[in-house]
Amino acid sequence: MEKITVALAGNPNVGKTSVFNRLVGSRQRVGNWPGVTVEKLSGKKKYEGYEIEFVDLPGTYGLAAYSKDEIVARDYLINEKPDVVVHVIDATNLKRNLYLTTQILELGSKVVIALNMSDMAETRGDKIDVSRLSEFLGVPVVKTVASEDKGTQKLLETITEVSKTKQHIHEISYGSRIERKILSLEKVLGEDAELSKKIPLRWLSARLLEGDKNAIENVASSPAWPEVKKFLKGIDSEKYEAQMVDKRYSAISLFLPQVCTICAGKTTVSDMIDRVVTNKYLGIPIFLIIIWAAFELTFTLSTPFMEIVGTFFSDLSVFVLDAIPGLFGSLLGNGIIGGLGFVLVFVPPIFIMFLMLSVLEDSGYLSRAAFVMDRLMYKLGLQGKSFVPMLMGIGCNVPAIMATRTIDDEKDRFITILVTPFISCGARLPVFILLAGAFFGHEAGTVIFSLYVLGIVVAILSALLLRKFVFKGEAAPFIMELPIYRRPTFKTSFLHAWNLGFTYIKKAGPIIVIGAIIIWFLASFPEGVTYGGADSYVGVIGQTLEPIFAPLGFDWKMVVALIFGFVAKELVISALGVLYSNDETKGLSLSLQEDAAFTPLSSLSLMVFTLLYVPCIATLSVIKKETGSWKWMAFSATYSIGIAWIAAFLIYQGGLILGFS
Amino acid sequence: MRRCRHRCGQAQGKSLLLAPLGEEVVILDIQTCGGSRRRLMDLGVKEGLPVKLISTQGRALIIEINGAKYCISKRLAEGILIKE
Amino acid sequence: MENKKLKGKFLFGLIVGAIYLAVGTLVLINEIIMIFGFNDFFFFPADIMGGFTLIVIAVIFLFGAKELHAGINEGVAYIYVGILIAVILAVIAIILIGGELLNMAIESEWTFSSLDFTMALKPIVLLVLLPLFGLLVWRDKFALNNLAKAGK
Repeated sequence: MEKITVALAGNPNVGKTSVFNRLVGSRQRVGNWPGVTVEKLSGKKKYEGYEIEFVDLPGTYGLAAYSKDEIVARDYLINEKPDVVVHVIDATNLKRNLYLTTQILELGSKVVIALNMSDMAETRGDKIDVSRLSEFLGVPVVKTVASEDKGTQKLLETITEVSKTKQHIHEISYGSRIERKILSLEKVLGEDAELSKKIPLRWLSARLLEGDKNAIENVASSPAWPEVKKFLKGIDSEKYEAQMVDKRYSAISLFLPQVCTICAGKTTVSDMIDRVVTNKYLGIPIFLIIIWAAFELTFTLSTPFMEIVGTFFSDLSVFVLDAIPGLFGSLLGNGIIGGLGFVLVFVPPIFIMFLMLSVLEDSGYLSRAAFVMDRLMYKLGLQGKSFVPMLMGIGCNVPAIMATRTIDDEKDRFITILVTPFISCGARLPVFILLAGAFFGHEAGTVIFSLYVLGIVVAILSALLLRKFVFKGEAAPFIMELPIYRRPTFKTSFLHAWNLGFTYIKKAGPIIVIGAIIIWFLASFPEGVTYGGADSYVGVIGQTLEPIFAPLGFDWKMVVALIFGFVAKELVISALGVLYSNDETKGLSLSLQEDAAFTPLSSLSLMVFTLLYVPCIATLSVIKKETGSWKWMAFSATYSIGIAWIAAFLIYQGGLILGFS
Repeated sequence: MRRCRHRCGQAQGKSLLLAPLGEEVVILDIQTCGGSRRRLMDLGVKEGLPVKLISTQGRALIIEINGAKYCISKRLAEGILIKE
Repeated sequence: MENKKLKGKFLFGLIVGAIYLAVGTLVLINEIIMIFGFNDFFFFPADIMGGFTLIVIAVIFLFGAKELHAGINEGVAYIYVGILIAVILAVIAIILIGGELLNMAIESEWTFSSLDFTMALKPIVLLVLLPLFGLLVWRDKFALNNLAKAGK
């Protein structure tokens, strides 16, 4: 079986991942925000005697590459040299998309163009002559509508055909003056035989003339570098850069009118919606209503399902404890089943919340939300682009922190990484639902909404402080595409939410089971103690630390729950279950209500502490990975515990002073 | 009237920030530098191109170029000059 | 306004906006009254977010009416989007009511006779009849095939 590698490249938001999914048949996230695919995703497909490995690259507008994910895409194309590059193009914006095409063709890659979203282009009246486009570009063009799985077979067929053709470097003329410079540089670079084998020299010369930092780094270690440096000394790279960009767009403008007739001037649905949702005065109120509606739906719709799941696990736990006496029965019933049950009961709200986020992303609204929030974000030391990773933090902090790779400016990126953990993630939601539901009744939805708002406020204030004292300087200017609005389909959004929800269970499941066993062990021993009682190991740990947390209204059991929350926030619930739910006929909620230490005020204080204190181990490890520094990871942990303590203290003591309990 | 920040020292045009909302205007010059300049150019923003200012809010604005919409910071937009 | 159709949209925006504004204000006033310890006064329930939502919808319609009155034809966008938002939020409110009923059923807290039907009478649900009328009249503007499907 012949093996070939195929890279999928293209601008952000053109449906690359959709095309990838159709080709490979796996489920991947499709987002409207550039950079949702920040990692290279790959998948294999067997087709007509070929084993094809597809690699989905992050979106990039050009091969100059500014953000980390653009550099990933470019480096892959240059260094890995895939057998075929499928360049996915948005049929509704040919001119801008073809700009990247010119650069990929210059690399000498074997290219197939996937003309995606052709249904949208046809709806608005565009007439694209696919065969003429193919003729002008010199590469095959296949019409696709990835959302409806159209064109996939033809695309596969074309990929295998193209893989057998010879490589050919397409050249754009940059005008005689620049061409002379390119030729001269090529001669100099040609002295390094190793370099010639690695990268097409014409392409490299053009990049050097543009002052491309990456290209310079590539050549700096070459023996030809001193000559190259001398050559580039007198060159105005900004001027050359502008002229070369201009030439590329001119080349596209020459043939585009012969290939595509466009109905211009119509006000589209996207334009009408944008007029309202990005209105100066209405933008933020509309955004607040949408987010509040999402929270209300999450809480209200999930409650009946949580009841069903909770009852099932509770009954199962009781059955096991009765059927299997002794330590093993206790481990199974209290430890594993109990622990698992306390967490799985929160799958319904997490799934529904992911569904809400999926619908908002799929529709295209989230990038408008970033625009609307930019004014506020800027006043607090950040930029609109920081908003979407922070919003993703509502699902899970781990991918949210990884999504900061799309932020070009290092300072902005670091600040966003350090403040995103304050955004309440899906794992904290179970704690809020349990406590708010137990102590705040019908106002539970509003209390939870307020906690999310508090998390955002703390994130923003922290960003201000970090900008003022640590990462000094102004927020960088930014450019962010606003893709057209799309109709979220139930199937698409459901699959996204299912994928995320399932990933949550897969990620949390093993940690929860192991954590539940550890909690069970610490609560069951030394032998002979009351399960979860003050004399058990867990009780001793909690009582030792209790004085530090007493001013926040916490007793030793709450402290123990918070310690386990460091491993994974889901374990806070497991621990509370073990420590408070001694009567199997009662639910945890009722047990907490009947416990003297738990009052509405202390539960609010506990929720605030859970919201703000150290993120889970997974989040800390990704902070270390993205910042490249143990120092920032340690700072994040210490800072968040400090902030959480102060906030919970103010809530509890302030509440007592005001006469609440 | 804004003065060119680069070499020529001649008065150019007015900033895109002063463009009327919803109307198509023509770009005269790009006067930003570095990565932002390159990003704008990669998106096809250049002299002679029509651009429409759609909305402004705080320090960001939405423009339409080549049929696509972008949200850009005002600082960047200051450097995009249009005809008077 | 030269165009009869635009005049119709202007009037629609003005009337619907005024009604939503009035009801939203009453709902908010009710909430404020209750915060100070009094019984809610008006027929409408006290609900801070509900009142805020109604007022925002009202402002969308009134913005559109203002622009159309000033001769800015693009103001129709506010009318259409106002209808869309009002209908979507009303549907969400109905789903929420369903969720609450389901929850009560599972917890076995209600019998048919004990059910409080006034919980269904949320203003956002009652008032949606007005935007629905607009949706019916201008239904061609709301054809879903004007938007491409989100991809997968």
